[in-house]
This record gives sequence, structure tokens and C-alpha cells, in this order.
Amino acid sequence: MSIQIEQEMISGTEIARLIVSTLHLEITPQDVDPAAPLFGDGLGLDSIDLLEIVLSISQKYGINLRAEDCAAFGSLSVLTAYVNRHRTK
Amino acid sequence: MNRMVVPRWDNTFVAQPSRVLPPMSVGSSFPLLTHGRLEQGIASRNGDVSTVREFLASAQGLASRLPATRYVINLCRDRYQFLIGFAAALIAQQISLLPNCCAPEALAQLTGRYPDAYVLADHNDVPPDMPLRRVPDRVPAADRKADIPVIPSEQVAVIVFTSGSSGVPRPHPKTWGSLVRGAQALKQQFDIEANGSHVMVGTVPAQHMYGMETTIMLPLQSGWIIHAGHPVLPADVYEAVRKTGNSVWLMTTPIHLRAYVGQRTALPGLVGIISATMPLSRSLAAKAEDLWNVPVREIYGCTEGGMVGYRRPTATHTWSLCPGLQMWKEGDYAWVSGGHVGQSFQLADRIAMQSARQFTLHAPHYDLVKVAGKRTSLAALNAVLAQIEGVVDGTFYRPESSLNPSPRLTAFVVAPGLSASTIQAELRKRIDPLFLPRPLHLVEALPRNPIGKLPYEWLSAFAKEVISGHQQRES
Repeated sequence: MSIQIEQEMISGTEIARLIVSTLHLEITPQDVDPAAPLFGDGLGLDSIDLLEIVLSISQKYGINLRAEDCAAFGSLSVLTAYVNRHRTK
Repeated sequence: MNRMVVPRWDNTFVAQPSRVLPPMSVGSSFPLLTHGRLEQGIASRNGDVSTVREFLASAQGLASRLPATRYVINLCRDRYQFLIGFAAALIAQQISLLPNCCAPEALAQLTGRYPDAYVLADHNDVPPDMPLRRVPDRVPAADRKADIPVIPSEQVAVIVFTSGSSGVPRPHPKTWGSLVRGAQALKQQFDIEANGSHVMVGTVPAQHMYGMETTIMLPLQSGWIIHAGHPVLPADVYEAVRKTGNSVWLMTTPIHLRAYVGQRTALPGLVGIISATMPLSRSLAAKAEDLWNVPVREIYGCTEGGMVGYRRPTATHTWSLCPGLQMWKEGDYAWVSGGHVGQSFQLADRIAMQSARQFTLHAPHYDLVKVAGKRTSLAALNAVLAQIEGVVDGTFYRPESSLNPSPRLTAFVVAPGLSASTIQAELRKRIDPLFLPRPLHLVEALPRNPIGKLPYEWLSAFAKEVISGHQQRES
């Protein structure tokens, strides 16, 4: 029988910190607007950034995102909810 | 009608005797593809294979419905749909324009230069004022007999672009003959057997010169199956390779390869890896060879000429010049000509020649900017910056050293009344996002000397001061 350990919810700030440190952005995690798109007009991230963030999320939370899952990058709050739902570690 | 410049062919391309190429002369032609049978596969999407017959019917069907113009901008993201559009344009004797940047202003600039151009795309992410033709997802296969089109060597097939120093992209026309000869050189280089049943999976866009050579032309001229997608994320590359079967070649870049090695992505059935766009480290190449037990080959090339040299990084640091090409130095710069390259041109990279056919790459010239396989110059970026309304003065700057493997640029801008985000938004309309400054510093003035120049030493000291001030404020 396995014992389920309830995982603590990950906060938006934690995900923002992961993005800022992964991409060497010169902003603070608090500067990331929770509702703004992460790609295009928001933070203006591009395809190389996407790959870097996907790798960081895989290493830290055990989620292997695919291109079809990329609606998860709609905003910081959408991504935070996605990670909380799908994390395996 | 203006005639395009057709590169002059010479007889210096010498193939191995068993793979003799037909004698080249203006007026010769090459078939669109070299697959032996019409029922052979040419593209694979989610494991469903399209045959040569279906492909030809799709391309010929699309060709018959294209507007009667000279130029077409192929922005398809799906590689099979790109291929159908590319083949349809060749059949209709139209020239495919392959822009190096899809920002709205860059596309508008392209239609300004080629006013009759329309867009072929498989998505709606196209400025609304541009005439758009959709490449259908599935084209019903006609039951008529499919003929393999034969394309004249001197027909201009594509125009690729480099960023000119004034900020206006510079066009480089490629004839069908030069593309075919490039594919033949690749086959010869990497000892690829003709018409083996291989599958090509590519992580680079078909619109990039390296992508055009390795993910479109090489498979067409080798009888291979093209994976229809454009996977980049590790989980997508795994799915693509898993579903396409055995004998898979992966055409990729060091940035992507680093990700797949880091994730230890399973790539069943892989037989070879080709990398280009930026130098691949020996240690990364060795890790990849250990992990997947396949050779990792590397291409050095550029938009103007395509492949120029090749090496296997685990065996040697030195590049071998492609057969048929000549290379020589004039002052600081190296030049190449001949073979698939045709007329001579100057290479942007700093090169040291070990011998007539061996060379090494060195730190780039200061003005050259390369991020993730895209190339531009600081002069070109500065010209774009200066065009923004309200920008009084400004310069892009490349930090001298960075631990980040894909270092980004910064910029110092004098623009009273404008915010950094407004300027960023204007830049995003005009340049590739890879070159956007991170961050953009608003400053009161740049350290120009009395004659208005920005001496590098002054700019460098100024940059250190501004960046360290910025970092102190952040912490």
C-alpha cells in the first residue's frame, strides 16, 4: 500500500522565479504579470526560451511538456495551475 | 522581366567515380525527387505515410490553382505542407521567398520589394493585409498518372535573405541546380547511400538555409521520408522518432541537442545526427554519440552559400572544405566559390586556413551577431533602432562574456519621453525576437567622441557602468 503524501501547492512566485532564473532575465519574479501572456507581447519570450523553460519544468517537477500543451504558457497563473495539476515530483 | 543572376558553373566539382554527376551546364535539369517508385513513401505525419504519387498529385493540384505571379512567400510550419508549397511553386515556375524573420514589419518590407508576392501558409498567423493562400492539410489524391517534374537547373527556386548592414535584408537567389548540387555534396560528405529507406526528422525550420538543405533537399534527392512536423521539445522529438520507424536522421542544432542530451531523450532507431547553426562542443558531441550510439556530424555553412565545411567533432576540431569549393583569404576575411556555391562571396566568420582544404573558426568579427542560428550585424540592428520615432540615439551592445550559453544582446537608447517597453514593442515589429535587447537601458547620452563615433573602449566602459548600476538597483 502506498502512502500518499499531499504535495504543497506551488506558488506563482515560485514559477516566476524559475522562469527568471532559467532565462537570466533582468527582472524580479514580482515583475511578472500573472495574467500577461508569457510569449509574444508579455515577456516577449521566444522558441529558445520555451525550450529552456520546458527543460527546467521537466527537471524540477517531472512534467514533459509537448508543443500541444503550450496553451499552458498562456500566462503565469495558467502555467502555475498546470504545473500543480501535472507535477510528478 | 529582369533576369536573375545565374551562378556560373565550372567543372571543379569532382564526384567519386561511382557517383558521377551528370555534366553540368546551363540548360541541364534535375528531377524534383529521386524516389524510385510512385508508391514509395515521401512524408510521414503521426505515423501515416504519404506516397510519392499522393505528394505529386497534391503539388500539381496546388500548382494549378496558384495565382499567376512570380513570387510566393512560403510560411508553412508543417514540413510536408511546406514541401507541397515549395514543389507547387517550382512546377508553376514561381520563386519561393524564405524570409529570415516573420515579424510583421519584416514581412511588409518583403512585399514592398516583391509587390506581387502572396503568402502560402498552413496557419492564420499572417498580417491581415497580405494575400494568403492556404496549403490544405490533406489534398485529395488525383487518380491521374503522376509524372515526376523535371526542373531546369537555372530556374531560380528560392531566395533566402541575410540582414544587410542598413537594416534592409539582402536577397540571395538560389537556382534549382545549386540546391540539387548542395544536396549531392551533403550525400557525398556523409556517405549517405542513394535511395536508402531513411526518415528525416528536423528540429530546424525549412525556411532556414540549413533547414532547406538538410530537411527538404537532402531527403528529396536521396529518396527519403520526411517527417512532416517541426518538433523541438524533447517529448515531441521522442514521439516523432518513435512513430517514424527505423533509420532516422536527426537534423538539429547544438541548443536543441544539449536539451535532448540533458533529458536523455530516448531516440529509438536513430542512425545519424547532423548539427549546424553554431559550433558544437566536442564534449556535447561525445555525450550524444555515447547516448545514442550514432555518429554526430557537423556542418559549417551560411545563408549565402549553404554548406561550406564539415567535421565530426569527436574526431577533429578542424573543418574540411566541401569538395568542389575553393577557399582563400583576402586580409582578415575568407572567401569561397565553386561547386554548389557558384560565384565567390566573403564569409562573415573569422577563419584561419590550415591548408587549402582545412580550416578552423575563430572569435567572430565584432559587428557579427549570431543567436541560435540567426545572423545579423550590430550595424543592421542599430539602423532599425534609429528608425523608431522618438529615438534620438541608441546602440545595441553585446556583453563581453556571459555564462549563458545563448547570450542575448542589450541596448542603450536615448529617447526622452519613450518608455523601454514602448521601444521594445516597436523593435518586436521589426526584428527577430532572438535579437531583442535584454534589457533595454534608457540613458541620457551615449559616450560619443567629438566626431560622433562610439569608440568600442568607451562604449564597453559605459556599458559596464550602466549594467552594474542596474544590477545594484535590482538587488
